[in-house]
Amino acid sequence: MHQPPTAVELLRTVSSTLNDEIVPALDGPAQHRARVAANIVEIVAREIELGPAVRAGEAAALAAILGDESTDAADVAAALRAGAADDPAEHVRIRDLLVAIARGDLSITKPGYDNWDGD
Amino acid sequence: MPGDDHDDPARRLAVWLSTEQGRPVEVRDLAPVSAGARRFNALFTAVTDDGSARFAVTMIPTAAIQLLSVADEAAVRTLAEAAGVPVPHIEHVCADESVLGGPFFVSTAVDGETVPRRVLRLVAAADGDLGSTIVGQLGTALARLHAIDAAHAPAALTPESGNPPIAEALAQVDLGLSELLSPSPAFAFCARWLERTAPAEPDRRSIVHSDVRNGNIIIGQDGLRAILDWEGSRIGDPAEDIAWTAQRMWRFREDHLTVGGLGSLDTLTEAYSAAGGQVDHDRIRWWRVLTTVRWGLGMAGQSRSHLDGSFPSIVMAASARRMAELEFDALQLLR
Repeated sequence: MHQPPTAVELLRTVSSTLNDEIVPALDGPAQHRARVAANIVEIVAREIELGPAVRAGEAAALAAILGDESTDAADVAAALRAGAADDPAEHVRIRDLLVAIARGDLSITKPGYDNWDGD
Repeated sequence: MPGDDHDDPARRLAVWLSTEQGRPVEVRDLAPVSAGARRFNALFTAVTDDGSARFAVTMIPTAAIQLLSVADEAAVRTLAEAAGVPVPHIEHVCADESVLGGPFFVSTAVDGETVPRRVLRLVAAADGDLGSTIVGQLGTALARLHAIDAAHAPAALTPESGNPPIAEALAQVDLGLSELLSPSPAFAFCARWLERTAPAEPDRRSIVHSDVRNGNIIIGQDGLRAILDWEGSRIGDPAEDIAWTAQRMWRFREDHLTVGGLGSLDTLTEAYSAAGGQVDHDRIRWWRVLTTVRWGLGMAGQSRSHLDGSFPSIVMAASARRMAELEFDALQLLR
């Protein structure tokens, strides 16, 4: 068992070091890559923290899409591609479930991005 | 070593320009302005017996990754310019990779802002509604581009498949879905919707730029000065160009201003229509969904290029984690 900091705390330290110290010391393409690196580290930290709950939510939404408890994303994708959501009511119901899945992923990759209801 | 003429790009460019122009040309202050994944842009001052003037050089690191050859891209830009689309005037084209390390062209330098956040700051500080002015100018420019007789376009602009635009776009989506390393129910849902609501193939096929957006335009106090980056030009459905300007990604958090955080899509389509373009809102909406899905699939493709070693890069590695943004945007367009 490691002494703290935890993995998430270490990643947050990496990202703040990159953002506060490394990025300002660079310019051009290297600065851009350092920003991307900081962002990746923040994403991974959130993935460690939120990933299990997000995956559980995704599994529940996937199971509800076809109503047959299938949580295999490939099966669900194949059924949707073949027309499982063609019916207008199903379109609305399934779209909402897919939006919920995307919101879960965005809580990890880009918090706040889901604050938009379309144009 | 420093000062070695043979390793100095400014010197090599000067020698080449002197030969092209048949008079001595001196190149000063050659400075990179952007280095994208695919191309390298730099500004310089050319000094001749006529005086000095500013130019831009666009170099593609190797001809192997170019979408269009520099000669074809230059030909499209020259056609667009003749039709009244603002583009930096092409002065020279060089296919010889030995001069700068890749094919390149030289165009007139156009002053103004290109970085999106700086464009938005300039617009915010301007008197009146400069954002709507720019969006209207984009609508006019696109109408002029799309009015060009596609028969005059270089042959390379026609897709190799020979498919018409709608069929080609749908085939690309299914190809992208099949290449995903992890399935996307969201994009599978969108692909089905795109297939069953697909518009008829367009009556008129045009030269489409395919990447007109905040970030590929030069903006000044007077508005739109030039449309840049024509390497993705091809023969297609004009509605695609209109749709792409409205991507949420190009708004830089100004979500209420649909076109680039600058103005409304209605402002663009009204100007487009006033300049003679045909506007079909359902068709534009379809292309908005199509291009959102295609961009998301492209993000996943960038990360595959990192993983398979063909283009190892931290930027490419990060791209696939952006796919959820495009899944969300596409689904929200399908409410």
